[in-house]
Amino acid sequence: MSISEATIDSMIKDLPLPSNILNALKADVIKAGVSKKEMEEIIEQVMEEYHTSCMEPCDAAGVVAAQSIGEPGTQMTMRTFHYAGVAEINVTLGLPRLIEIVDARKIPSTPMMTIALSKEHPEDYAYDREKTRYLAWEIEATKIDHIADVTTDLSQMKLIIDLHEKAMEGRNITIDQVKEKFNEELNVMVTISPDIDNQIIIAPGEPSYRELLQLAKSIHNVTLKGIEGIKRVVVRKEGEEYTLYTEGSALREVLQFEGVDKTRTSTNNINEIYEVLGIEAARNAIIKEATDTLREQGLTVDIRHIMLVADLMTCDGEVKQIGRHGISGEKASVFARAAFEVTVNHLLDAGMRGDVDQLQGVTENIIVGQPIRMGTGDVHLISRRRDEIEAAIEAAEAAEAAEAAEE
Amino acid sequence: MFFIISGGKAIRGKIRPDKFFEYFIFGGKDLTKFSLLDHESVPKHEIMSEGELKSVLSKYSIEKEQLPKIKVQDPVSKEIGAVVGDVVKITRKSQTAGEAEYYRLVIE
Repeated sequence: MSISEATIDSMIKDLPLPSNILNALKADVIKAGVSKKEMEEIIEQVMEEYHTSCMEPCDAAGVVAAQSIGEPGTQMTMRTFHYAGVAEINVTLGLPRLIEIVDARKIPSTPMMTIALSKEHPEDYAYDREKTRYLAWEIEATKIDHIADVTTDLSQMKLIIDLHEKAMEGRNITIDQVKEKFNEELNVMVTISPDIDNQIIIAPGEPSYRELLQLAKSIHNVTLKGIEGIKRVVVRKEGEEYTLYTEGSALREVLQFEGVDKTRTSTNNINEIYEVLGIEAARNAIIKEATDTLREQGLTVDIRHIMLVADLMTCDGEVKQIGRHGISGEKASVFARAAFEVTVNHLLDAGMRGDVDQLQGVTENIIVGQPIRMGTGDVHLISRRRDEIEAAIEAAEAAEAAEAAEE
Repeated sequence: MFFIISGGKAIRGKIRPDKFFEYFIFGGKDLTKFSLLDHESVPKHEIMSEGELKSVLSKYSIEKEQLPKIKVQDPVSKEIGAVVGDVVKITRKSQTAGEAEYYRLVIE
């Protein structure tokens, strides 16, 4: 006779197990159809198995994680540039990328964004090629080189810009907009040529060769349209849905665009995620980027090790690097810091300040040759005299009795 | 003109009178403002009550200061209106445990 779902629920509800074990247990039990007695047996076995799989108290979790990530790291390629499965977008992968992640660099060497598009109704951006391309041109930074030829006329002291009509049409930009933008950014004389179509003439503020040559350089840096820093946008169709990939990253700006799915758009710049979406999103990004980097190299590292690293990097509310300026540099012990990097500086500073090392950690105890406080080394036996214990028990009993009497 | 208001999503944070209309929820969907908590990589954050906090601290037998931290300027702390000294309960989706609870103390 098998028991009902409600009974199973009430039996497993208070077990100290993670939710996916409970769900798996419930599903299997319902499928098999067990009696109450069998169920009790199963729960007992599951609990026992769970306890043996848990990490032991005083186990060196950090060392295990370091080795588990470090060993596959030795097999990684030293220098790989790869195309992210997408047409010609270059991303750093392999060891350099992993180092970048744990060093919490402010800007990765190849920032990249994945822009998901909204798909709320059938004609929305994600399903419409034209809309998607239009959005791509809105986001991609347009510089003068993309749409025109620039020639410097030294005799007339001016710059002549010949705009390509086709290129302008493709990028959805007009000659007036170009003129406006130059006016705003450069503070110079900008005129649209009266005789020749699609020509703009720029003259420097003062008529000097130096000014002119400077101007010829600086007009290449003006962003005429789009977001500064987004060098290229690639449209790609995945299944039914169009997605944009960008070279360069500007999450906050991109989220403002209509048609961008604000809930699924992401970047590989962890610091940017931290600033826009907060510390928990940054933690998730560290885990995702590190696992993806390792997986791409064909290495499998248990996610728990990476989660430990990510938790450590984010536990103070900001993304800290694992290294001299982050986790390792903030250790309380002088010896532990000196054992890591720049030994002499740490010892010298500590000596000048008169620091005291409490010898609480692992490294410093190894240095002085004491048992470390890990595993069996962390267990201390404190003995109390028999008469003391008896007195304590008596006192507890008396207190209980007094309480009962009061009620 | 009238609004159809259905409670699809809870209104978060303290509503300032001048911002009242920004928080209008229309047909279960906030039309005016994108909430960070809707982003797929941002887990659920909520400010804990005193009682809940006490039971958590006694479960782990630790002080509030020993919890991991979150900055008060963090975009999500701002969004849920947390102040320094609050403890934020974070319900993470976890690959290993299904769902995991995490706590962060709000700091300067």
